[in-house]
Amino acid sequence: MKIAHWAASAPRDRRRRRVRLGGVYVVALALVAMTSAAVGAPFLDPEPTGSITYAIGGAQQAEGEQVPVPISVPYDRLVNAVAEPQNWFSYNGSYASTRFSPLDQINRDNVATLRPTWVYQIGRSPVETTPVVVDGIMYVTEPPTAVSAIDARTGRRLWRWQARLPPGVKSIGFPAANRGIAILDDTVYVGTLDAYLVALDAKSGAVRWRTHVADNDLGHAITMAPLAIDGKIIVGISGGEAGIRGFLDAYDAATGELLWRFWTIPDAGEPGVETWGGDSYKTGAGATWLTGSYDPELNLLYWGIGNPGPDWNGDARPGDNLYTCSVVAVDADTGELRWYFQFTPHDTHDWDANQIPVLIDAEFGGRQRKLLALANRNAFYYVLDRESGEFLVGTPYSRQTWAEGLDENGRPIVIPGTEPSEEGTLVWPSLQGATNWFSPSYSPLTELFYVPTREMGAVYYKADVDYEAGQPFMGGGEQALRGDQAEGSVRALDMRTGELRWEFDLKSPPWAGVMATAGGLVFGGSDEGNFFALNDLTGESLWEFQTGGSVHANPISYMIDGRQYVAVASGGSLFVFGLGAASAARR
Amino acid sequence: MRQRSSILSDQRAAKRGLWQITGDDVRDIAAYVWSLGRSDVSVAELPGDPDEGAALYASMDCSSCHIIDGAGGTMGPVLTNIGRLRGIDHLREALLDPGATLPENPVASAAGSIYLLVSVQTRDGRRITGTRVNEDTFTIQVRDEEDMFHSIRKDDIVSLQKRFGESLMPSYADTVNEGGINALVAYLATLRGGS
Repeated sequence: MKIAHWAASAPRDRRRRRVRLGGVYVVALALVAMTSAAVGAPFLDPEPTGSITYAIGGAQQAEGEQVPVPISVPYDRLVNAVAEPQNWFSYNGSYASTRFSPLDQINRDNVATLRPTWVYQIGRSPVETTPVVVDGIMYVTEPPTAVSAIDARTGRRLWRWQARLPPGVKSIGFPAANRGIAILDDTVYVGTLDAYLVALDAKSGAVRWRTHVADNDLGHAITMAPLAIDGKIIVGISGGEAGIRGFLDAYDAATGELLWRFWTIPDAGEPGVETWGGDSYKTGAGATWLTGSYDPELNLLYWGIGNPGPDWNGDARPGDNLYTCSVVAVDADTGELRWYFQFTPHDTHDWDANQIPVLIDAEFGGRQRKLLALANRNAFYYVLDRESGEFLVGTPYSRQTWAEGLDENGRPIVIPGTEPSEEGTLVWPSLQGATNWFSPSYSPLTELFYVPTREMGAVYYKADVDYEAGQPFMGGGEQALRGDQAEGSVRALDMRTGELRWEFDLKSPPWAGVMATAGGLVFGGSDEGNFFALNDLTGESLWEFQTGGSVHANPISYMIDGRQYVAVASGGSLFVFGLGAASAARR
Repeated sequence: MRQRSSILSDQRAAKRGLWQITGDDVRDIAAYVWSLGRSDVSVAELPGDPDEGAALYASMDCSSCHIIDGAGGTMGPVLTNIGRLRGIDHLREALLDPGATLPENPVASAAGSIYLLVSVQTRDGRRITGTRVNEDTFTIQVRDEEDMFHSIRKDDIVSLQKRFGESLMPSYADTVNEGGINALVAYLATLRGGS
């Protein structure tokens, strides 16, 4: 038996770490034993037989050299994530957040044979997690705040940690979801619904430290996945419907100490505060509730900022309301603002800019440039220069009835009469936006930007509201056009121009992300439970699976033992698919 | 009654989505909605004679498509407690223009109108007309006029026509006089059974 053989043999590779904790050692041993039982399915290519690829730093182990898994993700591995396509290191897969998988074993020719490998039942919803996969172990978050580590080959759980949330924990204006973790070195980081940042031992789930980020009684909460950079954990905050003053934080990864805080709304005396009337900046919202991106060369963080508060009544906050509905570039060492670009000045439709900024290095206008592409909730697609913040391109990618277009600086030319009103104003898109937090994806092979698109109008209402600490602070509401009056699609845009190349119609507006792969595929999901693969060049559907729950999450891909998998959460479960793999343990 | 005021008097509450309402509000509103229609309709409020309406219901063979107290067909909605669920005006409209107001499916993952009339033309030459039972991006489930279920992949469809404003149920505007309609409405309004 492989187990006995392995247990008797001492590790020969000096790079391997001896696992210090006995209990964890057993877990690692069990994982390796299952791996060693593998034999290749005849139609799969390439198929290493009996080899172990719980590899360290991407190194492949020769047959028989089973080693335990020293969980270690130093910063260098995160920077070079693209060199390890078998892993999905972070919420957005890499610092550039293209959510493109370079894996191509699952491709247009064989995707029709994709089938479930295992299902992990969480049993609670909403499940909006993006799994992180490192060296064969998957980390998923569960609502309202829990983390599970799972053997990514078999779906068997290794450990689970659950936050003790106080009774009456507040989540004002959003569902009590959690979207994922960050990993750095041997520690997993997660934000809690009651606004703590918690560091967990990656091997056991034991708590290393716990830092209070902000007061949940005032409506602060964390649902986003933290972002790990060099020695720091970057965390944003939710609470934009409770009149918080938004911020972006950096914490010392080792200790949990706050290193800097960037306020998304200027304080009295600071530049930009003049874009708010009176004291309105104090309750101006500007939440940072979705994981941003990072350019290690420029050492800049790129983060989307949420709507101003109150959402639908802008009377008390005359002006542009900086830096709401903007993307900001923040120095990762100091938290200082380098530049900003505001998509929707003086927003009154709840069009947060909390979408994923996608960082693309490409030729543009005759020279190589560092670009930032973003499909905004306001129905416009933007390309910016991410060194300077210069506006390069902006064009509608979905039905919108609020702007005649953008001026030469990218500022919207707003159509009068499209603001919320007492009697109601019908506007496209709805407050959920033409897209939202779920992921777009960019393929460097097709140079297309793929975006799940919602074509849904809403009647927006305006009402009076006074700020009351820890209470909803919205000033109106909306009634969305639903059911058969709303439509959805996955759209492929020319990255440089935003021009529509193809679209794949969905039965209803989606709440699920997409992922492009080097296999020529774009994976996506629907509210009706379909998980599907499209041809990345044409939008033709090549495979689909009915999951039985609404897909409200983003897909990822990873590889173990030379086999590529695709994972996505749907309903209250996490599904993992592989080529023709009826059972991973006995393939 | 606090729960009533939550809905009717507070304009802000009336304009909020459910996700914006606090837990206490949700309980109050649920209690209020549950209380709706619990009181008996007095005979004086009925637009006609319910007994006459019951006789018309039987003679028009409405039970071929509707269940009352367990008896009848199921092409259309169950009517056992329709008097609790729907008001007089809606019942009248449902008889005169049945496709005008279709109910929305309360299940988020099956969003859309219930009883939507669809016509499907398949690649192999079939034409299926019936109500849409469910639909996703790749498939549609249809219950046809002969009460047969069809599971159809959209890849196999030439055209899918969603006939908004229409219904499999005929309008009785031209076949039943005003007195008859009033009697039918009165009868339906008295159907308050079930649990």
